[in-house]
Amino acid sequence: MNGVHDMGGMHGMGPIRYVKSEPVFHAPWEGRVLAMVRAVQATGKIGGGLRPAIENITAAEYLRMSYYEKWFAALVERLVESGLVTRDEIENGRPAKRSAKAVPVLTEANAATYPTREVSARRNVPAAARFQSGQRVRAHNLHPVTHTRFATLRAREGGYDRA
Amino acid sequence: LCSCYPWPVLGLPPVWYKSAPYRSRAVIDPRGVLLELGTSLPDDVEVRVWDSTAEQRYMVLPERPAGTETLSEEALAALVTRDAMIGVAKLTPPQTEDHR
Repeated sequence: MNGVHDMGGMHGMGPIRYVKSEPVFHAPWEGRVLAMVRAVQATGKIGGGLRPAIENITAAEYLRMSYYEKWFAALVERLVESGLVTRDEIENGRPAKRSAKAVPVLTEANAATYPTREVSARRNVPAAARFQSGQRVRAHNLHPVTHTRFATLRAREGGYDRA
Repeated sequence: LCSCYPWPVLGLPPVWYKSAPYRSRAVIDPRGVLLELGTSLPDDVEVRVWDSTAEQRYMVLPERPAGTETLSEEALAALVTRDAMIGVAKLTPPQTEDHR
């Protein structure tokens, strides 16, 4: 996707607002959003995490929203998509009548160790390396409609290190 | 150049790290970004940008400050800052008694 979230290389975003010693959360609700996201992710029912929903936020909104505002908006979308919660339930703040009560995966007992558990991103895809270290390569000018890790590299040339 | 960051090692990232100005410019003007964050590098120092993703993290080993040859591992570790681990700051040598 050619979205505003792939902002590497853009101009016009203004000065960096560096704060010497920043609080971890700037408001209590930010911590609650982080905790809710972790608890929902622990269910394993929102494959792909928040990223797809965050990347679907429209450009003007994306630039306006704070980090945890984006998280919250994306969490709502993913909760509804995954069937864990209905939009009515979000709006009412109450479970629908006769809805099943889920058993939380993230509990008080495992919450402290959950963030540092080992999760491998390694995928066992049989593929041979097409390039050798040190080789000059040029990236395709690709613009897929879905997520890409390619954005900053598009149509650029450089030395291949390793993948 | 998203907000990916090694949470288990450094904790949650600061707002500036996740913000549009840093994310957009770090890759095209790293020297300018460092200067804006208070780190001025001479022209003969090469700058490399390592772009963390959701799957891949980079550990940047901060350069050892001058005059720390006799320090223990614990004393060296105490000099390390979050910003040096992100790669946007150099470590400052320990304050000696003369500087107090």
